[in-house]
Amino acid sequence: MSASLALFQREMLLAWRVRGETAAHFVFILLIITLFPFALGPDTQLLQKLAPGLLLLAILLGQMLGFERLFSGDFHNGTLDLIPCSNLPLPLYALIKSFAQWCALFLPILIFSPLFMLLLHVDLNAIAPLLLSLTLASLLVQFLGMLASALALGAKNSGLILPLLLIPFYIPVMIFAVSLAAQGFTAEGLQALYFLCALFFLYLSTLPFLSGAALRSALESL
Amino acid sequence: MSSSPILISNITCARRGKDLFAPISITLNDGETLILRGENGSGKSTLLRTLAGLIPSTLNTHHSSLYLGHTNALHPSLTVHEHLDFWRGLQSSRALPNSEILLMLSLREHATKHASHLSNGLKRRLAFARLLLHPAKLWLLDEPQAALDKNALHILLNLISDHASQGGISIIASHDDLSIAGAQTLTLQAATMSTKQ
Repeated sequence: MSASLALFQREMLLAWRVRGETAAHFVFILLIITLFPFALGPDTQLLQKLAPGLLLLAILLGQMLGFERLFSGDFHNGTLDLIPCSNLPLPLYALIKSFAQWCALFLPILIFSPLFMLLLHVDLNAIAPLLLSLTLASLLVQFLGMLASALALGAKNSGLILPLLLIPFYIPVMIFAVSLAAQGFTAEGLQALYFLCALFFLYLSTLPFLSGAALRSALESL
Repeated sequence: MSSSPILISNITCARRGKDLFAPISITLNDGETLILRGENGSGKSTLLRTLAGLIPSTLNTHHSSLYLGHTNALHPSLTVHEHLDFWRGLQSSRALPNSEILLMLSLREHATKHASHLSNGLKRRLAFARLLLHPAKLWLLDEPQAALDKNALHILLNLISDHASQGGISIIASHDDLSIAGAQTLTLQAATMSTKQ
């Protein structure tokens, strides 16, 4: 437990130390959201209709920018070498790193996202389901990114491999997240919500172990 | 610490299906030190990583071992103190306080510096803190003397001899002549053609 806490503290401290990079994610997403209405033209109804999809896309693509760095720093500076000999199992290490990245980069965006939604003329009743759908979708994508970045570790073109690995898995997440955001808490929307929750627990129970195995094989290649 | 000798028999390491060196056997009793020698690429680092359990092998690495690779496991944006706290948290460790460790490594005046502001030798010295933080019977050191000045080398040799006097075992890969009393030397020979695929 104390090992997990030590890692989480270190990750948060590092996120603060490199806050310029951390803020770059925020700015990237902010840019998309502020520029999109200008690109679309003055049609409020159309904007309102497109807003959930736009927010999802902005956040999920913004997330992809961070995955390349998730494990590569620790891998190259030798910190990853310490983990197999420590009290921290590799799957837990992967999970904590990944969760810490989500907390540092995306929790602030999610906290501010109701403001973005107002900018995009989202209906007030639609804010809660959209926020829930953004939270779940970004967590799911964070899990997928954890595995993908562990697999791409040590590969030469990880910048190219990562998106290619991830895109097919983004699709179901997008479909259900948009459905929840558009339908709200109706029967159809709840169906999508249950599906997102099911995916969450499936990923939580499997992907850390797969990521741990991928990290171990990356260590062997050093 | 358990007092069993370390026995490694007939081991070799392979990279891409090729044996790196001719099979070797090692027996080390408590308090003994082994210097690994061999040309660049002869498999010294791979052997150490295998012994540390980072590369799977048929060896049962039941001895608690501490591996210090040629990377120092430092993050440029963390200070000396923060590294010590993180390493301490990762593993159950001796109750040696940070201040005492910094004193032993004469890093005291650098305690609040970021790792990116440390010279190579100071970085290496900070990495040695892991030897003091975690009790391990077997130390696996990969070129520990790289970038060290005379004083720092003295600190390193003291650490190794203290470890040996407490019954600890060290295996050190090194090109230089480390003056360690009673150390054995093992030179890794390239695998003969017949064992190559």
